[in-house]
Amino acid sequence: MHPLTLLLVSMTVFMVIGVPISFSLILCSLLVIWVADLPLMVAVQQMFTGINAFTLLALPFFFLAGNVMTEGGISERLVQLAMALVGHLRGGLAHVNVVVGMFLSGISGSSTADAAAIGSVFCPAMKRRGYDEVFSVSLTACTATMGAVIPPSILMVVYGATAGVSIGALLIGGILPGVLMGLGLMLQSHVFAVKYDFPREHPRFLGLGAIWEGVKTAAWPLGVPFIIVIGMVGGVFTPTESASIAAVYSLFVTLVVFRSLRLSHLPKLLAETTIQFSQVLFCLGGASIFGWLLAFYQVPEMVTNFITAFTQDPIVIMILIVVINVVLGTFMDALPAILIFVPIIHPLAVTVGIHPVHLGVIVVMTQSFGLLTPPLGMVAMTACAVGGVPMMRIQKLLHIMMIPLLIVIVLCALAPWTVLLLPKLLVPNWL
Amino acid sequence: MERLFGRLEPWLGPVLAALLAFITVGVFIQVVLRYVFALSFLWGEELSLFAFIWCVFLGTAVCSWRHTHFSFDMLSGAMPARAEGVQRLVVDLCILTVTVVMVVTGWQFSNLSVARLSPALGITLFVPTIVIPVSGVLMTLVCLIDIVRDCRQIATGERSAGTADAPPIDFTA
Repeated sequence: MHPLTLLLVSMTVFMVIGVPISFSLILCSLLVIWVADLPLMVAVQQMFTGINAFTLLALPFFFLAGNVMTEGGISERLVQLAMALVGHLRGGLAHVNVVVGMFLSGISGSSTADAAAIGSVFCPAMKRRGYDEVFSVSLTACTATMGAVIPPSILMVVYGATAGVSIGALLIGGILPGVLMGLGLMLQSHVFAVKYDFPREHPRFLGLGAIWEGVKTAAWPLGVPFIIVIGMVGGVFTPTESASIAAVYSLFVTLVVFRSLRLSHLPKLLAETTIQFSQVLFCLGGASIFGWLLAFYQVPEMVTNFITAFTQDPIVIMILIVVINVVLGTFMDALPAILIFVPIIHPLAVTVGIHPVHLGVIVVMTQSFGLLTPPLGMVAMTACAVGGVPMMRIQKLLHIMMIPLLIVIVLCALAPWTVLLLPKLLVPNWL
Repeated sequence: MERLFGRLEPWLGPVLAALLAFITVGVFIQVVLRYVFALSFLWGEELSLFAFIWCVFLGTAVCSWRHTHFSFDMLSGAMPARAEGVQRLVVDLCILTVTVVMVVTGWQFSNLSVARLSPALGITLFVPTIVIPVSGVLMTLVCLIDIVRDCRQIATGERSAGTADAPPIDFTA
């Protein structure tokens, strides 16, 4: 058997029988290293080098800032501002759900964490206002997918580390597509609101005074996205440094300003955060052995040559990549999908002239979208768990409500400027 | 052995917390020093990175103990207890292979690294690499405990208490 076939077949077999993803990646690589008579030391060395990178330190900080802020109960503060902004629209609470989701995704780097945080506030609140629980859970799940697109974003850091693309440019590039996703969801909420006559939260626009009050309440937590984005845009900080400032800032806000987090809870929070990010990075370590083997057997070149023999049109290739990612996202979680397939598709895309940052943002968007689809839709599962609705019941509506997100993804895939505009304006030297 | 690890976990938690606090404060102070006082410490970066590597590998061991590693749980719960025991035994043997390699080859790797020095501080790279076999030993222990549990399940046909672990929530994406 060719070592490559062995690599891919054994990986699939290990994953299917239930070996954890990180161990499957390492074990199939070990198998090939053993069969091909390569030194076993290569495996450990690659695993170590995969993790030994200062840029990856952004990950613990993003995890920490998100956890600290969620633990410190900031969602309610964001609700007041969102209520003043969009509460007067028909279906006000649905719009507020989307806007708070947008704010939250600027604070935490994880869609799943956002789904839990948004769901716990909005599922009960929307039920009280007479919304159908299937609608509120589906909307919460859709809203939460912005979490991985708007910075900070854990998937963007993982993507940048895997593909060797500037993490800062990826993070900035995610802003506009993330906002477009939010606008798409608000447009859809409006259509639903008109059709089913959802209530307004207050009869008319509350005025700038109310918005100012809301801004004052939400100012501290919303400092996080500002620090991260402005720190990088000013060219002052690297993404890792911005992330560390955001982490310290969120600790300051919850411990000192709001006093909503007690110092005695801190050791447990820190330990749990470490455990969360350690398994992500252990997967990354396993994936770097796997990626090294792919490169060793020149798989990226093979795939590139194979595909470019059919077409060299970047638009066709981009559509192909989106379709592959949607299919992958259905069967796989976002993290392993990115770790396994990005080393293969990245060289292909660069060869035909797709910008690496454009590709990165599209892949992260599509993978984040895949978190809605069963059987492995972590975000949909979390929203259902928080809202207390079985997965089966939301399927039909969720698949309809996913359409605007898909439209935004295709739009961003076909129009590179939607992704590249902000990085070009703000951080041109990172592109 | 089970009790030993149960006693170890409360110790690991504070260690992980301290390491993460060290990384956060370390990088933050470095940024402040560089931009406010124009002082540059490359060794601060290096120390934080070493602490980060320790975090990753020790945290992974805790994930093994809690069975929260990301995996595709397609088979669990759908099988009779004995068949499930066999499936889990196969999985645990696979994991054991990896952890043993981490111990043996990881130990060789960190011994080779003794002579290599870090660029800024001049510390031997034994310091960050030794955590690979250490974590390997911890995970091997966990895996052996699990294998004993699997064998018991195959023998008695009763699901062990450990099977009912809550499904892990993936907060990465």
